[in-house]
Amino acid sequence: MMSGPRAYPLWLRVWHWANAALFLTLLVTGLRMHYSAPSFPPIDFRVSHLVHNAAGILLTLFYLLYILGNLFLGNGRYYRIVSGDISPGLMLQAGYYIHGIFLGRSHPFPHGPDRKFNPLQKLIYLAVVFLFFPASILTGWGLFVPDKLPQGVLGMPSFAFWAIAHTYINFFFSLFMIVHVYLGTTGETLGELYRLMWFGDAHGHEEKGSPKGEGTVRA
Amino acid sequence: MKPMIRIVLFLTGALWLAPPGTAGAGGAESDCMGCHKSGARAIDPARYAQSVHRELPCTECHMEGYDRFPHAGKGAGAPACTDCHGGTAAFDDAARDVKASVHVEMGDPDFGCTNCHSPHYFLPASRTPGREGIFAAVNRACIACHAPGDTPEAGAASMKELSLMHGRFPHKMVHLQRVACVACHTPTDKDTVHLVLPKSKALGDCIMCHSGSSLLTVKFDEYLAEKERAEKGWLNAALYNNAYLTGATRHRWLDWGTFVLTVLALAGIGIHALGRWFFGYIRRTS
Ligand code: HEM
Repeated sequence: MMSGPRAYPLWLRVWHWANAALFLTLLVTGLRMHYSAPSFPPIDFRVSHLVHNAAGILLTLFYLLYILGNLFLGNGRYYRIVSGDISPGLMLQAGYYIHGIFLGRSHPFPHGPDRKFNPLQKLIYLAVVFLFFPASILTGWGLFVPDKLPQGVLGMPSFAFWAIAHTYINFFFSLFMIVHVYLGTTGETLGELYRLMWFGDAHGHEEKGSPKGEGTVRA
Repeated sequence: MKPMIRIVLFLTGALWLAPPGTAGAGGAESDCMGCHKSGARAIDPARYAQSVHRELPCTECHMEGYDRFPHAGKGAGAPACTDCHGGTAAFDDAARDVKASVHVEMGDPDFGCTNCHSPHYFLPASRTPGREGIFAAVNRACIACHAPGDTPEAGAASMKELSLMHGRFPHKMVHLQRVACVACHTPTDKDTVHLVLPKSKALGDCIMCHSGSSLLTVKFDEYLAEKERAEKGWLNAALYNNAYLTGATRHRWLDWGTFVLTVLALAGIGIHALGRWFFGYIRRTS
């Protein structure tokens, strides 16, 4: 049986899929506004605008949930960088994706009580969650209440700044999501990580006396 | 002193007291300003000095009877703008469009150029620094009547009221302050800003401005881009180009760059996935 805290508790799964749904909504409505043209009518501009704003506000709230969960519900410990993560961790993990994975080698950093993320994943999630996410949210709010903020940022009119920053920060965010969705298939089996993120690890398939115990989940 | 000399001196001295108004210098410094600095017929010399007509002496327009004091003329005694400006397509078209505008049709048959373009203060967009300056200058004329206020507080209050009438807009105030009123209140199918339409015909379709080939681009931005290139250099202008406008924030290089990066990412993933499948297949069969 698994012991200790779960790596995929309910609150985390609810956050994650709400976040993913909101993010996709924001992506579709955001693209629709960015590439708006009279001849491109799938969703009305006004509707996009409204939905985008509403989803953005919700996403901000959910983001706070994730931050609180990391601070107070134990998830934060998976983000702690431990010795060996940077060197040789990054190279080992990159080598696995470039080489080992094709040869069917085992994951260099299997899950353990204190490890849910491999070193590369940890660093990318750190950047995404603690840099890109706040930047995306702040620039979004900048566009949401532009008249209540300073009228110039970094020598640009603030509108230009928020719009450009928001657009291209979120472009890289979307690239992350594409790669993220794909790397989600690189667990022990294609569906393993998806199953974990959906059903959690309390009743997971490796629960019942799996020889590898709780330390087998890999990403 | 001989009487003759006295008389001559008296007469030349009296020249100093002769009526002003004939000075050849720009109006702001002209002698007229001695009186017209304050009071009901005041002209703000600072603003006049910024205006497009700043080089003209007052009497260039105030011709009839204004070269002496007290004035013999009545009213402003000014000629029609087209006396000087007529004869070019731009001015003739503008004059024709104004005649067809809601201001003339539903308001004042005498509504004309000077109702919006104060001859004393007007500065064409091409000579107004910065994008914000342009829209502020362009809208000032509309606001003077449609959201009047003698004090800043009164002005802000009537702006607020005006913004409530623009209920369809998100960010009402931002739109009012940053978009030329005439962008939406003139026909969308013609390149005119003078044919102001009745309220019921005002543009309400976001896309007309919020898109790459936007109405604003056609009516204002192409021209603004040129101006910004000249003011800031082409690189800055390219970076700022339309950048404040959602939907027209599109920068061709950045759009292509993001597209190419996305395709590369998808291709990389495709190749990786194919490799995993292929080597897995070999492992299983060997
Ligand atoms: C349709 C879109 C998405 C799918 C299919 C997906 C899939 C997954 C899967 C399978 C996992 C578990 C494996 C792991 O822990 O890495 C996961 C975790 C995670 N995903 Fe996503 N994801 C999506 C969108 C997003 C988005 C938009 C974000 C934005 C930040 C995100 C952030 C994360 C984070 C931070 C984790 C780790 C959570 C934790 O354990 O603390 N995901 N995702």
